[in-house]
Amino acid sequence: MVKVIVVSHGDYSRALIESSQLIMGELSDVTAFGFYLGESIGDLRQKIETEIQKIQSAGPDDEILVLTDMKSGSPFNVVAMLMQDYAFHHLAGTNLPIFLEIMGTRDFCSVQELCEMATTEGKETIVNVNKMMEEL
Amino acid sequence: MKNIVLTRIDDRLIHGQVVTSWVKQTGGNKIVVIDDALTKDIFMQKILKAAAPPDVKVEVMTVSGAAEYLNADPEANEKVIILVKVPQTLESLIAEGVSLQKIILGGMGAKEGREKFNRNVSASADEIDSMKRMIKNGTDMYFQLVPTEAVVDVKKLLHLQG
Repeated sequence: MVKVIVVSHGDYSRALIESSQLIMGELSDVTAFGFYLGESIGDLRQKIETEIQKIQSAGPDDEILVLTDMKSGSPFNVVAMLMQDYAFHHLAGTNLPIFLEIMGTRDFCSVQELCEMATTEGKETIVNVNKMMEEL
Repeated sequence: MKNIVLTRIDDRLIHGQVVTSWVKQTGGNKIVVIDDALTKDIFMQKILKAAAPPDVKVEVMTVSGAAEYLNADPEANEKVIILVKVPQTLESLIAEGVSLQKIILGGMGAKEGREKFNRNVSASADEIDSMKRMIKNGTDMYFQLVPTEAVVDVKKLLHLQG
């Protein structure tokens, strides 16, 4: 199973997991980290690094997917910096439908497949409903 | 001299506040990150470029490289945003002959050797001294996280006279 880490501005990452559990029930092997105003990015980096090391030592063959809330944020920057030192996949711009899809398919998909799916099908999760109604 | 639309101290450099608020409000289309160490770090330069909006150019320069660039003639339609991690970088830039009227202090994260002195800003004694010298020499400095927020005069935060 692909192990997942979510990193965001503030509580978004924790709330993403909690909200998903309303739909999917209890989720395991997923952890959340938030970045808060005034915090140093070094501290955030340290927390994520510790989690990656923990996953790697528990299961050296486990694949890791780190999700960040948006490209161009400090969570994104910190995770991108860690890519220099650790092997994992990094997907930016996570929303609820993409997250649910990943959590639902990670038992039988490789991390590459998850990333591929999120970047292609992920765009379809954003819908202009007014326009959609007109076309129906 | 180049058309500088924002000079900001922020040790997170290019991130959410900068991309979603400052770039839009200033119309900046070129970000110059001034940091001697980063000019040698190709990996970090890639991250900075990835973090910027697609239509904004990013260049990482040394202090002396930036001084030369900024003092040269402006290019048509170019609006420059200067980002540095610490106040001393701007002090060196001024010492190299770049005239900076106004500096926005955005954020410096808490870490060992720094003490918190305002929301989102922690600074070491050296960093505070550097800010004081620049203010005394006539540069205005304001704390402002995002452009929609009221500015706070750093002179007052540092309890300087006048």
